[in-house]
Parts: sequence; C-alpha cells; structure tokens
Amino acid sequence: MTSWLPRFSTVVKKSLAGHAWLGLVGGGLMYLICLSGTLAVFYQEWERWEQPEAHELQRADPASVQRAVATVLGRLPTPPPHLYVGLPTEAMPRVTVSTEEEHQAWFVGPDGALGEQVAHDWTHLLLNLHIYLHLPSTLGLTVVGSLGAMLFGLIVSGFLAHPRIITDAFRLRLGGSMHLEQVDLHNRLSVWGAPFHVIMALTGAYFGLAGTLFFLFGAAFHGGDTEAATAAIFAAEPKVQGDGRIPNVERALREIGRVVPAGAAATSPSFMTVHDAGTPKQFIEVEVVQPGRLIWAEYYRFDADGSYLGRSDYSDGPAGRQVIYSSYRIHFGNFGGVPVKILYGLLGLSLTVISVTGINIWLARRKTRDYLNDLWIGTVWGAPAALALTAVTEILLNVPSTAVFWISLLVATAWALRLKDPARARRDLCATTAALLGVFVVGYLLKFDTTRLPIVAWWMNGALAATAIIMIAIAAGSSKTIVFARPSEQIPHGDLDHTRAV
Amino acid sequence: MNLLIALVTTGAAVTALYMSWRRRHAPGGAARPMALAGWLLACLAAMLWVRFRGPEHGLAYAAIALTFVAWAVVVLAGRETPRPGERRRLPRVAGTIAGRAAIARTLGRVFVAFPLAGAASLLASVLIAAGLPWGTVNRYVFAIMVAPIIWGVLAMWAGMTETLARTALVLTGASAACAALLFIR
Repeated sequence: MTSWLPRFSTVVKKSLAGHAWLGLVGGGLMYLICLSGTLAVFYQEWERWEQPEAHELQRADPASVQRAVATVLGRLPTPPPHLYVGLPTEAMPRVTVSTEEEHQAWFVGPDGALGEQVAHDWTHLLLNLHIYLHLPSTLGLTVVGSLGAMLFGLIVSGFLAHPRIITDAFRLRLGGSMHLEQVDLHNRLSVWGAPFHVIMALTGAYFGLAGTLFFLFGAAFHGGDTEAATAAIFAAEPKVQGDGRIPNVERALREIGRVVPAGAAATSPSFMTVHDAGTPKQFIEVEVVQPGRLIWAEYYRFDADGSYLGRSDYSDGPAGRQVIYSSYRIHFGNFGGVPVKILYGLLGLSLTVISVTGINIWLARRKTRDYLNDLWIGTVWGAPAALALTAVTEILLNVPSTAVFWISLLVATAWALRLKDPARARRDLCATTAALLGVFVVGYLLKFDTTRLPIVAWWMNGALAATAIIMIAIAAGSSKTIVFARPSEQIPHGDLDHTRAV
Repeated sequence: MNLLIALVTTGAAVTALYMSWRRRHAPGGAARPMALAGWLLACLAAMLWVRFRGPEHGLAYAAIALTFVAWAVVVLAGRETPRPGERRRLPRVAGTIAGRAAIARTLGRVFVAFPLAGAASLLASVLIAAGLPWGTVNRYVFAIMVAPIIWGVLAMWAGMTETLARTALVLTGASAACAALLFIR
C-alpha cells in the first residue's frame, strides 16, 4: 500500500540533509553570536571591570541625582530626546546620567557631582557583535534575528534527523574516534539543553525581527503608522503639558516609595528616563524591578513636577505584554544574580560547542579535505584571539577596536589557510590567545590603581587568567595530536588526517 | 533547604530516567515504569521549584536544573568505551561547495531559506494574528513568537528539499496570498 506520507527513513535522511545545510550556512555567524553571547551574559560585570575606578555606592540620594540631572541639562547645547539615569543595583552599584549621543554619559558621585565619562567601549563591542554582528543596526538586527529562526529550524531538524537522540540520551562514547566523540558531545549537549536553546532562538529572533513585524502590524492594521502598532503593545506615552523646567526627579524618586505596591516595595528603583527632557512634553519614567518576576521592570510615570501619573501595567497587564517584557531577562539570564549568570554562561558555552561540533562533524564526514577545514579552524580559534586583542587595544591603548576584531579574525583565518595544518593552526591561535590575555591582565593591573579595584574586577581578571591557562593546555594538546594521532582515526585510501576535531 | 529539596528531586528524576535508560534492553519491562517515574519526578521537581521560587523563576530554575543534572549524569555515568564496531569512522558523505553549479545551488537555497521563507513566515504570522479572537496585544505577541517558528521550519524545508524551484514558487505564492489578504481591501 502506498502512502502519501513519506517513509520515516526518508524523513530522517532529508532532515539530516536540511540540518547539515542550515548548520553550515549559519555556522560561522552562529558561532560568533554564541561566543559573544556567552560573554555578554556578564555585560554588567564587564562594564564594571572596564572602568574599575568609578565611584560605587549602594543607594542614590534623590537630591544628588537631581543635582546631576540639572548639571547635565545645563551642559547640553540642546535638550536631548531622552535623558537616562542609571541608579545603583546589586549588579551595577553605580549612578550614571547619559543621553543617546556618544560621549554624553557621566558617572555621578555621592554628592551629585559628575565624575569621569562612562566609556564601556569594549563591552559595547562585545554586545554589538552579539546583537548586530557589527553591521548597521537594522540590517544587523535582521540578520541576527533570522539566525535565531535558523537556530529553531536546526533544533527541529536535529530532533527529526536523529531518531536515536532520545534512546542515546545518556551515552557519551569517549576513547574511540574523535568523530564519534564529537557526535556524542553534540547530541548530548543538544538534547538536554534543548529547552534553553529553544528559548534563546525565539527570544533572539524576537529582538531581531520585532522592528520588521511592528512595521507590518502598522501597515496592516494602523494605516501605516508603525508607532501606533508599537504603542499597542508597549504602554503609550502619557500626554502632558508643562513649562520645560528642569524636571523634578528628586520628588519622583521620593514618591516611588509611596506609589509602589507593598509586594514590590523591597526593590528600589533601578533606572529612570526623562522623556523629551527640557521641553513642555517632558515626563519622568522610573523602573522598579519586580521580585520573583521575569518582566524587565514595572514603569512608574511622573510629570515634570514629580507628581505621579500612573504605571505602564507591565506586571499585570495583558499576558502578551508580560511575555514580551520577560524576553530580555530570559535571554540574558538576568534574573537570579551571579549564580544564574554563571549557569547561563555555561549554557551559552554549550551552544557555542554545539555550533562548533556540528560543523566539525560535517567536515569530518566529507570525502575530501579542502580550504573549508582551515577556514573553520581559523574562525573558531581566531575569534577568541581577536577578542583578546581588542581588549588590549581598546582598554589598554584606547584604540576603537571593531576593525581590529575583524582584521585580526581575517589574519587568523589567513594563517590557518596558509598552514594547511589544523592542529598546528589551533596550537598557534590558542598560544596567541593565551599570550594576549596574559599581556592584557598584566597591563590592566599596571594601568589601574589596584587598591581601588572592586572585587568584580579581580574575578573577571581571574577568569581571563584561567582562560589563558586553558588555552595553553589546548595548545599543548594540539602538539601531541600531531605526533600521537589515534590509530582508529587513520583514514584509509591515503586521505590526509586533517579532519580532526577543531 | 527548600532549594536543596527541589534539587534533590530533580536529581532523583534524572537518576530514574538514567536507570530506565540503562535497562532499556533488559528483559522484564522495568524500563518503562522507571521512565514514567522519572518524568513524574521531573514534574514534581518543577512544582517544588515553582513553590519555592514562584511560577516564573521556578520554571526557569526547574529547566536549568534538569539540564545541568542530566549533563552531570552523562559525564559521570554515561561514559562508555565504544564497541569495536563503533571505533571506525562513521559513513562519509559528499560535501563540498566547490564548482560554479554547487555555489549557484547553495546561493539559491540561501535565497529561498532567508528572504523568501522570511517574507512568507512574517506575513503568515501577521495574517494569523489578524484572525485570532484575542485582544490586540496578545494577537501581536502571538505573531511575534510564532514568526521565527514558521521561519525556522520553512528554512529547514528549504534545506532538505530536492525541488528547490517548486519550494521557491510555493513560498512566493504563500507570501503573495498573505500580503493580498492583509493589504488589499
């Protein structure tokens, strides 16, 4: 009897082809996004580490914040569309005042005086790699968002292509061929990490595709008005009419204690925005983190005099609004303090390893060995080296380093292509990364006053030093690989044994 | 203490699943009840996480704990030496992007998987949102969440199809139909 349904074996075979193809097309970019995303989990810690001498405080005095806001508005030639005030939290115990423009961000001291300029350029380089791949913003968001969708496709095709993935759920065959090890590592990390990977794919795609979807909602349902579509999901801005005086943020901050419901009172405000600052339409929005919730925050609004207007209802509004407002914390693991961040870092690392082992498996199963093997090893081991180099150039030498990252990645792949020896390329690039990290940590300790370093700076430098040691160990292992290739991996018919695991 | 109880329950769930996996070939059919017990314990663990940490954080912790405990069991107990037959390399596949025809084929597939499947999925999800009987916010958010799912599945289809031209035609037609239903009134 013939059936219109394809045979199961055909589905498996085709799914495997689709899985391999999708992985291959997105491979390099997916790897860069996963690697930078793993590091970006700790973006607040990186920011504190990048400017370790900024003043840190546990609580902001509303009067000091008022003085800082007045000083910044007095300094600017024209009123900014938005004035942002970062308030101290456990993860970021600093006060900042900033606008959208570059070089208009300052730390604030306990007395409200403006301190050094905020310059988290290396952290932003990392975040921009993760969010935009350093492309122009709309294009970058769309490309990264589409890769989120591809990741979902890879997860689905991965399960369809591997009918034994559940049967083998606990199997990790080590000591055989490196290929078999890579397959098991890829599948075990994938199957048990699947819930996390699905969440990453969908929330990542949302960040990238939201702009396009809001445009379509506007075109289809709001007569071409994208802003109206956006306002339908996110609370619309209140209509206020004032006189454009310096906004009374001090009163707004004092009022928060009165208007926040008792259940959320344990949390102090984390951020404040003055919309249309210095104009008659200005109003103040104060973010208060909601304990036990995944929504980013509840937003309390005040007019320019600091009188309470109402809240945005992110915490108890429509379910859809709560879901969309929870995506950021779920994506970046920003909901359980440092322990959850460490777990998220490890989950991100697992996704990075999955993206690498996936391509390794494909490369190893080919009948041929060509430039793709070298290109891939140059990308995989060149990216950490390139990031380490940007830390040296950006933080120690104050050189804008986006171009440095891509040029050094290009040089790394060119080096691997020239060597035509994956093991040696891996050894050289790991040794380079270790050397750069060593130079960086020493340079960092010489550049900054070690007596003023916050504990987080020591932790981050310790992590970098540990990474350098791991890189040295991998480099040493790479040397052994060349000499002691396992007999089981000898490829018959005279093929070169260069398809080892990256 | 509460966290410890939830963590131990998660550990018990994964251990039961592991024991079931170990006995999957054993006679007597003990594997199935063990697997069922494992999944029930996983549900109980999730309920405990929710009870101790609230529904949102609790579910997140439950999923994270299950993942890490399972990985730990894989590393500690699931390691095995491959049988002699498994030591040889897995079957080779043809895989190269050399040659103009292969490059053109790959570029064509990329075009179908990215812009074509992307357009079809975004337009289809907005059309679905238009037909849902919910409030505006929930309809829009549903579309936002479902769009990457549709796109991912369509891209997977583009990757596995042997009739790329037909796939391209179907996606173009679907996009055009969705756009017509949305914008032509």
